[in-house]
Amino acid sequence: MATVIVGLCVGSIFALMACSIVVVHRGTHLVNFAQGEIAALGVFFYIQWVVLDGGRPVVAIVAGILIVGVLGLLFGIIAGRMARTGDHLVPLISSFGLFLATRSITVGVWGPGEPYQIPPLFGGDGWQLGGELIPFSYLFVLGVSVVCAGGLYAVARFTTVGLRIRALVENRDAAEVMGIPTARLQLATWFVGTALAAVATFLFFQNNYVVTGSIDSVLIPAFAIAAVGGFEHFGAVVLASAVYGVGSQLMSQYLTFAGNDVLSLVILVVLLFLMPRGILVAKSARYSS
Amino acid sequence: MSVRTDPATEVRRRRATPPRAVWGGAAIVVVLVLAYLLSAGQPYLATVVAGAAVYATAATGLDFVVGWLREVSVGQGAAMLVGAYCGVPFLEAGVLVAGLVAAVAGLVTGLVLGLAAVRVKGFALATYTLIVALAVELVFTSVPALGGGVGRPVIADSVVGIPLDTTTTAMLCVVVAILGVLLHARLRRSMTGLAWRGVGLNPSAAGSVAVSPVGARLAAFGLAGVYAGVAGFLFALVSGYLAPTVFGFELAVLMLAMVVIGGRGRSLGAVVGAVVFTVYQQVAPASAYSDAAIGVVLMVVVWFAPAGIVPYVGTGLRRARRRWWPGSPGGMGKELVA
Repeated sequence: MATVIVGLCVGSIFALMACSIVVVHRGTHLVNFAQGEIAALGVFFYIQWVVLDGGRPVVAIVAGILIVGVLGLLFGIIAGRMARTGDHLVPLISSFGLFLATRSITVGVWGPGEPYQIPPLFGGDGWQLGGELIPFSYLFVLGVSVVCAGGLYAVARFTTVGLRIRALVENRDAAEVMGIPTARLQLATWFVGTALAAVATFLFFQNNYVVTGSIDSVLIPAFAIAAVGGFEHFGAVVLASAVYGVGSQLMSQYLTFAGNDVLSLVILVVLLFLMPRGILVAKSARYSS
Repeated sequence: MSVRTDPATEVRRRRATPPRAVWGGAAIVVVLVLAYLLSAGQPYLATVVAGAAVYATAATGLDFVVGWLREVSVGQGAAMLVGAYCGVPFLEAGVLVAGLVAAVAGLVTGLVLGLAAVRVKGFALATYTLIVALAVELVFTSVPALGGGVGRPVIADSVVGIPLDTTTTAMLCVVVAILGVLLHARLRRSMTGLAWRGVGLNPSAAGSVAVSPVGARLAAFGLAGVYAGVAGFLFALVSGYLAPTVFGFELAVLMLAMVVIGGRGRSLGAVVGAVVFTVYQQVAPASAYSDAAIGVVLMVVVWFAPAGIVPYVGTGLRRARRRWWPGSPGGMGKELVA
């Protein structure tokens, strides 16, 4: 049981990261392959300010998330202009360029393979369940993820902004005719999506060393999970994340760490091959940019 | 506006200008001589030349996907990895046999990468290639029988009886790159190449003229894999060492940058991109930030000059030719008729 709960905690990080990809895609029909690298900048900003310079953690976290959101917004503005060229490859290739540039800068500033540690935001031992200990940090991760996902759902379902975004997703032209500021809403989705990725990154590094490039271990499964959800369906993304998290935790009891990672990825690859348009997604859904 | 050529001028032009094959042959000879002069007796420069040729081979292969199919694949590094790991154990049977095995291994990897291309496109396909590439890298890193993350040395004695030193290895890489570019150019002008490019531009229209989009997409991915497999094997020969981490995701993104910066869909585009990248690596001070400039240049080029730098070079050459050789193609013998 404890393994399942830890799996759900781990899966919630993937879910949050995958949701951040889906948020951006639903609003803009674009995908940013540098999302993880930009999100990791927030964590490195936190390390610089708190761990190395002794600043205040809460302020650094909020500032880190906001900075990442603004960086996502800036790339959104550029990507939006690039999309107007009519060549769908331009924003896609640019996101790889951004990835290369951001990775290079983080390696240059914070060193290749240099391990940093974030002090856990939620201390204490953990919760005893059936003779096994579930660390509080994992439960904290699950709690924050649930709050973020719930907040996202509430905004989308019960607010005017959410309604407008849903209208934008359904039909951009119709939304524009109705006076909805679609361009501004698209920028808002860039901000929210990238900031959400920053939250997922902070949560991931609560229980892992911060090393440049290590965010790939979250981002790539998250991309696979988002693809399994057809880059559209939040329900499918959450379900796939939970299955991935619990499955990988259960497998880790029988396989080495690397073997576990390989098997999890291979399962995702097979799933993507069998259902490349995603599970729980209508055939008419749009996949290409 | 159409271009009409006066028949008499056309005859004079044909007599005055050598055929395309002569230009191509002369260019190949110049490249070979230049490569030899650079690499003979200078092990470091030979390694640089060989590296550029290997990058050019892999990037030219990637152009079948990026330039012709108009899709993004970041699996080229994985195909290089599989090609290298499958080819190196056959070195005892000879370099050519090992290269052939690497090509077949690359073909299979390319087909696996392209399987999703049958059903999805755009970023969904890019995501699939990304995940497959990472899975391949993880498999090779985590399985000790394959060398694990530590890697293994690669030793080759000779190729067709010629001892393999740094110079001959560099020349072998250059020859393979030239053959790769020639095949790309030949395919580009053939009906097959036209069909593949047509599928990239409009799959429905291509399908309506009896071109199979599925077959074309799979074949392009497979051929890209062959190029990558051979390039990966040569990479192992040049570096004398084989480790999975060398062929990571960042190498695949760099390949993409070479194709885009050089010029998508053109036979010389990837070569120019590879040469520019190699020269930049040598000129720029060794720093962790060096790839940042490539990332920024990639963004700028793909946005403001999506055809890459080759068309600009081509325009410059045409202008020079108009000035210095008026009877040449595109020279002053043509009349513009509105």
